[in-house]
Amino acid sequence: MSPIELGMYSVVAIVILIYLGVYIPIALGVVSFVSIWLMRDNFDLSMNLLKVAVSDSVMEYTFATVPLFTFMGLIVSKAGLGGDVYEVMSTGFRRVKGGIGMATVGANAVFAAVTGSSIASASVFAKVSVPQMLHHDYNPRFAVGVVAGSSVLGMIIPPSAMLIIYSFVAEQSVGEMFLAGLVPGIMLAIAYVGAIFLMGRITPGFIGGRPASDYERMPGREIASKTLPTLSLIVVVLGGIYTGWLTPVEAGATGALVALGIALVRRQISLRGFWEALLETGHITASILFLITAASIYSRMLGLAGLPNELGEILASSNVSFFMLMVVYVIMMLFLGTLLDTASIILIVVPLFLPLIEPMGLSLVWFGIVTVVGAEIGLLTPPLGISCFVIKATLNDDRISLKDVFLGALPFAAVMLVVLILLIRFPQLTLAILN
Amino acid sequence: MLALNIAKWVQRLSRIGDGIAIGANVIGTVVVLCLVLIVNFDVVARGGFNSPFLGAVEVVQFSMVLIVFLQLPDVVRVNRLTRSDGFLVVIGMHRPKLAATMRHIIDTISAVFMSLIAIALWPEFLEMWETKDYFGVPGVFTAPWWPIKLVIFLSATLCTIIFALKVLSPATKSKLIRLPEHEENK
Repeated sequence: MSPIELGMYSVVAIVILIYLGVYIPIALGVVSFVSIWLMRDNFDLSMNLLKVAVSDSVMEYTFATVPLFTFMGLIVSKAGLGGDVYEVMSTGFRRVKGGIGMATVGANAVFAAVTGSSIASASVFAKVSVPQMLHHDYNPRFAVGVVAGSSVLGMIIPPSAMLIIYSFVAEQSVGEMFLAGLVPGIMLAIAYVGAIFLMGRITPGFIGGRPASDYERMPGREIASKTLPTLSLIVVVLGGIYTGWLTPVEAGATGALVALGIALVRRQISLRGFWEALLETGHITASILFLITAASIYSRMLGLAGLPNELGEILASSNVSFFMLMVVYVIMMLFLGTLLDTASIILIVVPLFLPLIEPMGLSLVWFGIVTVVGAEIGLLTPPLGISCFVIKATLNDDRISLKDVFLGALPFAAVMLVVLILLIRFPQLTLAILN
Repeated sequence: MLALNIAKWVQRLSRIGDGIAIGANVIGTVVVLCLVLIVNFDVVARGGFNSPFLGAVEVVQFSMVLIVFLQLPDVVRVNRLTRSDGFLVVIGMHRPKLAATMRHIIDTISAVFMSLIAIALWPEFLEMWETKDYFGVPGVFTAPWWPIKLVIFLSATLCTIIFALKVLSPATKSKLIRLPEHEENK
């Protein structure tokens, strides 16, 4: 078997093993290990690559952003900042049809700028805004759909764990990836609000709800006390990175400390809660970085097999257009997104496609944003839309089935796809902020 | 009688293995806190007093190794290693025995893989221990390599043991829905 064939079989084997339920890092590691061994008929080479990958990939300085931003996000959730922003937003949107839905989108967009995880967003807003929408007679499917749809903003608007992972695979700067995620994230939020507005006009039955009668203006002081903490965090983190005063690692650490300060001042964190946040930070960091370690063995294997270069040559000789390449890419992401989590998709697919994208003169920063948005659609689609599972589990309400969550999220997944197409067609949407 | 005894031993060993994993996890957790404090210290020292903490980068790298490898055994213990087990859960509904066998096979493969990491790292540790090699910039800040290799070796060994014990103990049914460990206090 030629190395290229072996490489191709390995990719297929990895996908099958993962579908069968093998731990993703183990599947990546074992298959790559065996494949390198067969390819070179050299067991020691395999062991050597394993050793280098395991001891070196974790030592990357920028990976410190993973625990730091995770910790900040957990503290911010515990401090109840998400709920506060939502309350302010919902008084603003009260009188519009579907207003609470729009407020949820808005609050999610703001909350996303202080947390890097869609899971956190989904669980916070499932508890805060779904009960309120049901109270106002909204269609339950719409209520859970909005929360699921807008939770993906958490991973697109910086800081975002997925942007960090991509920046490692593609060797791009984390800071640039963060800045590039800003406009697409805001665009997606606006598209959601627009879609809700249109649904209110065209299919009001899907949204449901009655106009609020108990409308009351929130006093300015309350608005300030509920939004200032979040805004100050955003200024510290994104402002610090944008001005270049802080590296992403430093911004994460500063943000974590500021978040902790806010939680302490508001007396919303106990010693126990603090410890739990630290513990979970460690668990998340260890599992993400172990996955990255395994993925680095995998990309070395691909390199040895020469698979990415071969793909590039096939592409060049067959004159596949940019359009076709992107169609294939997006379909592949949607397919993998049905069963894999976003991080795994990025780690498996990106190393294969990077050598195709670079010679075409396309920006790798732009490609990263397209990748993350595309992979995130999978969070909303069955059978394994993780955001949808989290919402179902957090609500724990028998009136709302998993099917309701998926059906409710479907229109939002469609909006995401439209935004993705726009991002692909107009790269300047992503890149303008960098220049 | 013999089978019963073996089961008892497995249980006892599991408890010891779990205990060590939890202990390592606590140390790793403290390192997370240290990481936050060290980077902040550097930011303040640099921005406020114009005297940056010179070893910041090396200390951060070092703590990343500690966080990841001290916590990895505990991640394995609580079944939080990334996987997509929808298929296993579906099979488990109709053919629970088949699913349990598959889980055992998967854990066996995982144990073998982790032991390979341990075997790969051991000579590396011995070499670093003898040569006292270091990383960092000489004259500015340096740290020895051997503790890093040792932590990775021990972590991989512990992961191997925990996976092996998972194979020997009865398979647990996994849940399709994995909730975040934290909850918002509202």
